[in-house]
Amino acid sequence: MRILLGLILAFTACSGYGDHNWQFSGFGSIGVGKVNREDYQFGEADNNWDFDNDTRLGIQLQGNITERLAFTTQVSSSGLALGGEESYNPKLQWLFLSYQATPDLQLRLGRLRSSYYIYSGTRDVGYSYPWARPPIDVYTYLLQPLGNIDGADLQYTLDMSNDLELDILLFVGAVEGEIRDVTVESNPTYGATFTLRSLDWLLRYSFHIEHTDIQSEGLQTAVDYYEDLSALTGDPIFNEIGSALYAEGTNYQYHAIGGQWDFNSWGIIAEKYWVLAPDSGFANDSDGWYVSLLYHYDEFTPYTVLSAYDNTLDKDTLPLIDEAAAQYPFAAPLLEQTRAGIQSFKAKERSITLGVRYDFMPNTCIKFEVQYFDFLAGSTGQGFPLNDADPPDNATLMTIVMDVVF
Amino acid sequence: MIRPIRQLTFLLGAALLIMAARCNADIVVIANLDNPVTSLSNKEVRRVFLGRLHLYPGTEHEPLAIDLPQGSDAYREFYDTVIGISQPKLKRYRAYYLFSGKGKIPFVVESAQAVIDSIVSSTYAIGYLVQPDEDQLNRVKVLYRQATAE
Repeated sequence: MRILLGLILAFTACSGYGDHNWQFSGFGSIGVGKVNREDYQFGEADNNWDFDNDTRLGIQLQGNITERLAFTTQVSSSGLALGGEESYNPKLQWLFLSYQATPDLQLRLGRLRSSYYIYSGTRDVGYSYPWARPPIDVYTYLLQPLGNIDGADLQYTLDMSNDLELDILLFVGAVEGEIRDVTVESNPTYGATFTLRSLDWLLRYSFHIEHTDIQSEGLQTAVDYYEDLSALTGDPIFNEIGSALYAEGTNYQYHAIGGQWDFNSWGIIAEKYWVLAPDSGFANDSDGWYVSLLYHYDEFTPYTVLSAYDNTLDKDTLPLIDEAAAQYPFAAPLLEQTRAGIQSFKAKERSITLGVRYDFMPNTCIKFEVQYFDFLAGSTGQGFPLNDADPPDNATLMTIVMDVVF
Repeated sequence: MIRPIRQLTFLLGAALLIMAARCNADIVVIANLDNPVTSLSNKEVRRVFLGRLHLYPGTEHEPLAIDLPQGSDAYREFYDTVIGISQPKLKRYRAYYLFSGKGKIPFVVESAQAVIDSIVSSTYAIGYLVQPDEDQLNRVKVLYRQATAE
C-alpha cells in the first residue's frame, strides 16, 4: 500500500493534467439513536440517546493523472467501532489507481471496498440510500471487518440492446479485519459481481470466495486446553471440539442477490445473502434478507423495511460436547463454557422498520426511523443483553440522522 | 376570396415552421467545435451525464461533463426529459456514484453562459442548454437535440 501511495504521489506531481479535473468532495452524517429498554444494546446504541451509532464523516479526492489513468482516495471516520479500534479513528476506505483500457473496460489497483451488496461501496454515505443505515439484517455487523479489499478488480460493461447494460466485476485481493476480539484474515479472496441494469431497475448477483483464518483471543485458551486434553486422553474428540473455535485456511462462500425497481413515485429495493461454510471447523452459517418499499412525495420519502437474519456457529459440534461431557466428567466445566460460547453466536431476528427521509436542502436530508426487532430461538439478534439480564424477546431502536454531501 | 385563404395558409405554415424550429431546439447537448464527435444518441447522452460513458464513441478521449446547479429549472428539465431520471433518484445516484469509486460527477457551473464558456475553453467538455438563443449556439457544436415535454 505504501508503494502504491508513493507511485500515486509521484504520478500526481508529474501530472500536467488540468486542475479542474481534480474533485474534492465529502460526506457526513450526524445521528442520534436510542433503544427502548435498559437491558439491551444494539451497536453503540443503548437506553440513552447516543451519537456514535450513526455519526460518520468522510472526505474524498479524485482526479485524472493522464486522460486514462485516474486516482481516487477516501478516508472516513465512524462512531461505530466494532473492532479493536477507537470510535472516530480515521480509516482508509479507498486508495486506488484506475485505468480505462477501452471505453467498456476499467482496471483498478489498490485499496477498494468489498462489493457484497448494492450499497457496500457507500455504506458510510447516508445520503446515497433512503434509510438511516443499510438494513442491518443483510449489511450485518459480522461482515463489517471484511469491508475493504487490498487488491485489484476489472470491470467490463456490456452495452446491450434497448436500455440494458450488464456490468461484470471480477476481483482478487486480501481482506483483514477485527470484530470485537475476533481477527479475520482472508487471503486470497476473489469473486465476481454481475449487475444487469436498465434505467428503472437493476438485478445483481455477487459471490465471494474467501480463504480465511479466524482467531479469537478469548477462545484461544480453550483451543489450547482441548489440544492438551486430546494428548492426555488420546481421544481425538477434544481436538474436533477445539477446531470449532478457529479457522485456518477455510474456504467460505458469500452469495448475494439483489434488485431495485422504480415505478413512477414508488420504489422497491430487496437483497438476500447466504454464507456457505464447510461442515467442520469454525462453520459459521449465516443468511439474511430485506425488502424495502419507498414512496417519493415531493421532498419526502416515507419507507418501510421487512427483514430477517439467521446466524449459527457449527451446530455439529454440540453433539460432540454432549458425548465428551458424558465420557469425561472432569472436563464438563470447560465443555459447558464452550457450548455457551458456540451458542452465543446464534442470532435469529426479524425486524420491521418505518421511516421517512426529508430532503429539506440541496445535498442535505434528515431521516426519522423506528425499527422493531423480534428475537427468536433465545437469541438477541445482533445486539447484546446488558446488566446480566435475561435475553429480551424484542427491542425497538429509534434513530434521527442528518446526512450531507459536499 | 382566394387571396385571404392563401394569406391564411401562408401564415399558418410560417407559424408551424417557427413552432417546429423552437421545439427542435428546446434542449440541446453541446460540445466544443474541435470535438471530433458529430452526434450522440439519447442513450449515449444519458450515459455521459450518469458517468457511464468513459470515452467518447470512436475516440480515445474522456468526456468532461458540465452541469447546471441542482435547483435550477434547466437542470430539472434536462434530467427529467432527456435523462429520464427522477430528482430523488438522481440525488441518491450521484452520491452513490461519486463515493463508490465509480468516477467523477459533472462539474457544476452557475449559468448557461458559463456552460458555453467552459465548452469553448475545453475540447472535450460537454454540456446542455434549455431553450437556447441561436446566437448562443454559434460558438459550439450541437450533438443532440430534444423537444421538451410541453
